[in-house]
Amino acid sequence: MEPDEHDLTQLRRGVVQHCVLALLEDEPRYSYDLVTELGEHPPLVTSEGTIYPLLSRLRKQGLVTTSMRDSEVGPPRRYYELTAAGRHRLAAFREVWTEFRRATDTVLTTQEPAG
Amino acid sequence: MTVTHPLVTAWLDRVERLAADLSPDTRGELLADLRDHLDAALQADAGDAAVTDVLDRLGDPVDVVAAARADAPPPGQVPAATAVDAPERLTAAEVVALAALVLAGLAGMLVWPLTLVLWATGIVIVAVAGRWRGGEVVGMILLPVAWAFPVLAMVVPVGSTSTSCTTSSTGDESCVVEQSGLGGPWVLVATLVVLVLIVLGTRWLARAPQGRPRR
Repeated sequence: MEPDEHDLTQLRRGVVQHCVLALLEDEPRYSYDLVTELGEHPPLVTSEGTIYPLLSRLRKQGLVTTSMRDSEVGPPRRYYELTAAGRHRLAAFREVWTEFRRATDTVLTTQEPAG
Repeated sequence: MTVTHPLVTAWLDRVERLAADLSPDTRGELLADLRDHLDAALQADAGDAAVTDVLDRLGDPVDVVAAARADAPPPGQVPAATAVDAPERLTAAEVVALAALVLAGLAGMLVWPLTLVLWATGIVIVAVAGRWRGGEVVGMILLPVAWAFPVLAMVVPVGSTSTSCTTSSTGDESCVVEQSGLGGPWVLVATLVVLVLIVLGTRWLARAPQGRPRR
């Protein structure tokens, strides 16, 4: 049985934004590449279009910054880059997530019906 | 290059209509981002199949606008985080603790055991409240000690007395006892300095924990 869409939305809230931060960890990314890469992990996002508001919020929160860079094949492209605050947030989330996942797995496995 | 395929135009129009109640900034930014995405994903002469595929991945305009609405609270609405971080004023118990510590030394001038009682009371409340940090706690414990200086200055004579005697030609000896004269002014100066220190210290201790969440 598929999880209820509302449940999934609740589950994504607070998780997906950290996946965005993780994708930006190594280098600034072109927004289109960032969005399409995230879109390749269906459980994480409803659709590619819903990621843009999330990026906008991360920028307003100071976790990422944007800059326009010239492109050889078209108009200037918007690049997203992790700020120090974003890096900090990502590190904190990694710790929490590891514990969270371990605890959830433990509970789910223990409660799994035998057979 | 701007994609002008009718399906793209219709999709963007739908987003714009659905986003009519969002702030102009939020709506404008969302539309610009989506427009850029479509221009990057599609050639200007893209066929129906390619356009449909890209629009499918972008998603239903209803979902996209719902996401924008969820991520951009309407103007005037205070984000939850701000409310949680609002400064917390000192509680009555914490004010009592501070007052007890400040007055402990003063009370000691009248009835000295009172100092110990007030001091202990203050420290216990401070420890239970858990609102002050290491350096501040040390400051609170030392605050009553500051009173010791003017008290000591009054009780212990400061300066020395000197006796100078001269023997006159007639053989009479006359002696003059001189106090160095520092006692009075030193008590005053010490009291003033300590008063200023205590006022500043108390103000600092009262303000330091405000805005900090309770443990």
